[in-house]
Amino acid sequence: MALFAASAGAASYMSGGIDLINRMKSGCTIDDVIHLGAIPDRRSIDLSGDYLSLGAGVTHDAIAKSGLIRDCAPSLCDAWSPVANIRVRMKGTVGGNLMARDLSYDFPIVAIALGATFEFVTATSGLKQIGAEDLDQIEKSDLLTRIRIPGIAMQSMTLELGWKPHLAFALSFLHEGNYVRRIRLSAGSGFDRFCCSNIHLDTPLTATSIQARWSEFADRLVSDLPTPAEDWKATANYRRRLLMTLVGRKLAVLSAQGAGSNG
Amino acid sequence: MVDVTFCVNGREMSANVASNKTLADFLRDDLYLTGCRIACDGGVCGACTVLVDGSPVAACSTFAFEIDKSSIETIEGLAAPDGNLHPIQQAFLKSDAFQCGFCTSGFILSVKALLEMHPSPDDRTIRDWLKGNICRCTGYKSIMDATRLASAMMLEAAP
Repeated sequence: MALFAASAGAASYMSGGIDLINRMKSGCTIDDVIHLGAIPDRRSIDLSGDYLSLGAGVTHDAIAKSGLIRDCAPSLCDAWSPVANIRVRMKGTVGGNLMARDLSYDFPIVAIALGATFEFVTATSGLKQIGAEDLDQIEKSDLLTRIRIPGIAMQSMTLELGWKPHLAFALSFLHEGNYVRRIRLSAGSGFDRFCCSNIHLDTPLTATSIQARWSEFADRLVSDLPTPAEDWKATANYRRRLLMTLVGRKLAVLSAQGAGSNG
Repeated sequence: MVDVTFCVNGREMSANVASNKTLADFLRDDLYLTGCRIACDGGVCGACTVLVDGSPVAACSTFAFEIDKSSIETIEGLAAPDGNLHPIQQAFLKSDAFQCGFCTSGFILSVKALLEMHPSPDDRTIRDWLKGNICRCTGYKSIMDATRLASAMMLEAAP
């Protein structure tokens, strides 16, 4: 952080470096690159109580292959195994993916869906903790250290990336035994900012009950999101209808498979 | 400028590289290892794939200074010193798995990394590993065939 503060020009932290190098090729001027590779503990994956704790330097491949995560949150491993390509998965880090704050990147919507919090070291106030939904409150000089996901063993999730750049979203379920207590939808690509919506079920539902009401739930989840982006690729209305269809399909399929189980 | 020491295709080397130079430019312009192709220049197409400590990386999206104390393999180092082609190269030839050849070095190095980690991969694993390499002319069936053949050849040759 002292190096960042001492930089006379524009400085940037570098984790995997994939996003940084592409930004520089796009014309972004970086005078000082501060490589974080030598910082210890950046690549650790721990389970502390019911919190999954990921070092900011954990690679996507490490998440996909982690036995610890597979044991407590198999749906996260399954969702993360096919993202991007093998080169990106082996080099790219979750910290870099988050700090890029690029709406087309995938880890932010997963972090939001799972209710993650981010821990930073800041130049001014020491330690800082923010919720995943407040990603836009990060300062460039803040150094992300860890990502903590609460209640990991009670959550399951699924990811839809096949419709990028029109849309990408994550759906998570908070379980209570064989019942679902909350459904959360998060999105980035296809919107002007990262966003999410929730359905809190006062009466927890079984997978069968969700299957019977998937259309209603999809409608509620999508309606509570902000208006999607409108650009040359698609209108906002097209994106909203597409999202409603895709979320509905996911809910129908997942509930048929037993969304009440996080295994 | 950054001092780096590294091993490329089995040869120990050191260099002083510009901190904003990519590994692809360094390999091509400074070491004349032009089998590392630059196409998309955005880490997407896989034509510039080289192996760094055995893992496939997009050389166009990697800084040259990152290879310090690492071992690099490029397509130029794959054949045996006597000129015998590596089994993966032989399999690509036998399967007609290239046409213009521009993407081939990236594919072959991706397959090498794949087979080192999964000596007998199923089709799903092959597709997942090769989905980050793009071929504009051959199509992918012959490349899948070549990967399966290379796997069989390497398993047969294994002690």
